[in-house]
Amino acid sequence: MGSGSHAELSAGFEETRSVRVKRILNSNWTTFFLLPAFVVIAFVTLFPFFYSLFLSVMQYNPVRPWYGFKFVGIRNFAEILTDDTVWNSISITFTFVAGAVSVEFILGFAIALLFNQEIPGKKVFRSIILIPMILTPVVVGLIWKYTLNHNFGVLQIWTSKLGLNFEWHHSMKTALLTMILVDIWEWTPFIFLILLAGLMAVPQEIVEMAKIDGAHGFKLLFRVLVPFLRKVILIALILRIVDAVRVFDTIWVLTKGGPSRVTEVYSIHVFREGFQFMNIGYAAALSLVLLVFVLGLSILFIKVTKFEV
Amino acid sequence: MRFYGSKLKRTAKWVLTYIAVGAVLAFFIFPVLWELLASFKPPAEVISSEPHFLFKPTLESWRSIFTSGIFHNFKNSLIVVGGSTLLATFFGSLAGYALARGKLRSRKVIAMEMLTLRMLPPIAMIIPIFVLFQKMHLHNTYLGLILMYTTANLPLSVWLMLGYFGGVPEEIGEAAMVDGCGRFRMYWQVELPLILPGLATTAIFCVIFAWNEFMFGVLLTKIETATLTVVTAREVLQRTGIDWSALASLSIFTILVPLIFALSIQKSLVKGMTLGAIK
Repeated sequence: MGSGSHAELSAGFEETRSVRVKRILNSNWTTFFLLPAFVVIAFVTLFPFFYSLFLSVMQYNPVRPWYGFKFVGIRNFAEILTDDTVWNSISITFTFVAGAVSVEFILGFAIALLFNQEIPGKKVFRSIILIPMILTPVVVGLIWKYTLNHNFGVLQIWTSKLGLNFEWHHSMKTALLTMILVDIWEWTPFIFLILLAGLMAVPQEIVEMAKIDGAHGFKLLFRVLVPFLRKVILIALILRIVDAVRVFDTIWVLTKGGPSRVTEVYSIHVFREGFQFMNIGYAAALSLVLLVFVLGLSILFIKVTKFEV
Repeated sequence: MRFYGSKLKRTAKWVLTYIAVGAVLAFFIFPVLWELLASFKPPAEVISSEPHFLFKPTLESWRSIFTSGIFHNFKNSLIVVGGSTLLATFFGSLAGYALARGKLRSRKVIAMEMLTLRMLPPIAMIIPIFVLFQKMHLHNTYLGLILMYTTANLPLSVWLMLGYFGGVPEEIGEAAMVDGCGRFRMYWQVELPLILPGLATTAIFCVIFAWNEFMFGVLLTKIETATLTVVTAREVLQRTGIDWSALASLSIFTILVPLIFALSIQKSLVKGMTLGAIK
């Protein structure tokens, strides 16, 4: 746009250096504007991505870097197929994601419906419900570690007074369930917030018309509201699933994947493989597998939302 | 009689609604409230097997964390969070501006990349980054962590900025262009000032993320550069005997920043958390 006029103006003259720099900058301005973001992203994602391709066919111990890299070919990938602890962590991750997200969805939807009516003080209540998802995830883990503690956790004491002798995250039987419960506490507000926004955008006339046609309660919900909110629901679910797959902080603080691996979700498994057992090459192979999986999810997200600029 | 009945029904509905709302609120707020109370309890009361709501409040726990050198880590958090937020919003606004105003053919590809980046689990990137940072001496430096958080925040930042710039009428820029304004000056002096509230919202999202982040923080820092979040977690993970009293006030101290910032941008929370897919 501006470049053409600059070029014409300077055609008959000796172009000064500063004018030339300005002209080049202005004619390719989008490139220069995108460059800083691109460089940072490339440095922290593209470059490491290729580096992890390299690492995944190596054996390397970060604590003893002087041993260097040892080429092992596809052995790391082959090992994944026969490694029980990997399959264990994959199945735990699926259980965790399915359990947590389904309850979060039902509960979040129910609370959103509850709040989709005139309630005095609604705004303040809404802010209070949002608190869990804003908190530092590490602190969420700490708070629950305290309230569910064996000896002095207040919820442990109250539930045992009710005759429920739960040992929460201390016991192999209930540890994963406890992690799911903590996730439900932390992330139901997310579903609630998105669905409430969706519900408030439903035109009042549609609801009134449906009511005149005799749609009430569940009929109104499933025949009118759910179809209307289809896209919002899908976005909420996909984002929640993607974030549940990456869960790490809360579980790490609460159990570090224990007792005896029953809460070892995929992130924790890779973390331990890489930084506790120092199998960097193997951990790199494991993270590439995850990368492919997440790439699939993000393509799904684009298809569903018709995501565009 | 019928009138009376419907009134009764309405009262019953009202009572039930309030009971439900009360239960929901109690469920979500109680654990946080309990931790807050613990931070004002005498240390013996914090680990008492007879929990009390009423006690003599003391600042003992708060005094103990404020004299334990926690301000050093607080300062680390400020440096890392501040630096990465500055870079992410600046670079993000440049890129967002280019996407909003430039007629780019590669827009779709860029959009897709941004989205994938948002969905990428940290664990999928941390292994190569850990080794690379060791080799490049970025390990245990502010710069390393600032780079990580800048990248993590860029997709969201580019996204929101694209939306905000898209809302500015193009004629404003064109008028400035006639006056001989170059692209950068147009962006910096004409259009950016118009979206300052949007810029602030974006910055707040960046602050919250960087403040809360743990995995990169714990792997890429040692005690000199550890952020507050990392130190709070280390307190419980690496000590044999946990000081639950100090941990309570440390936890509350850590969540103050994200809490205050997030509640200040409540209206934009949905937009930010869905990458603008829902407005």
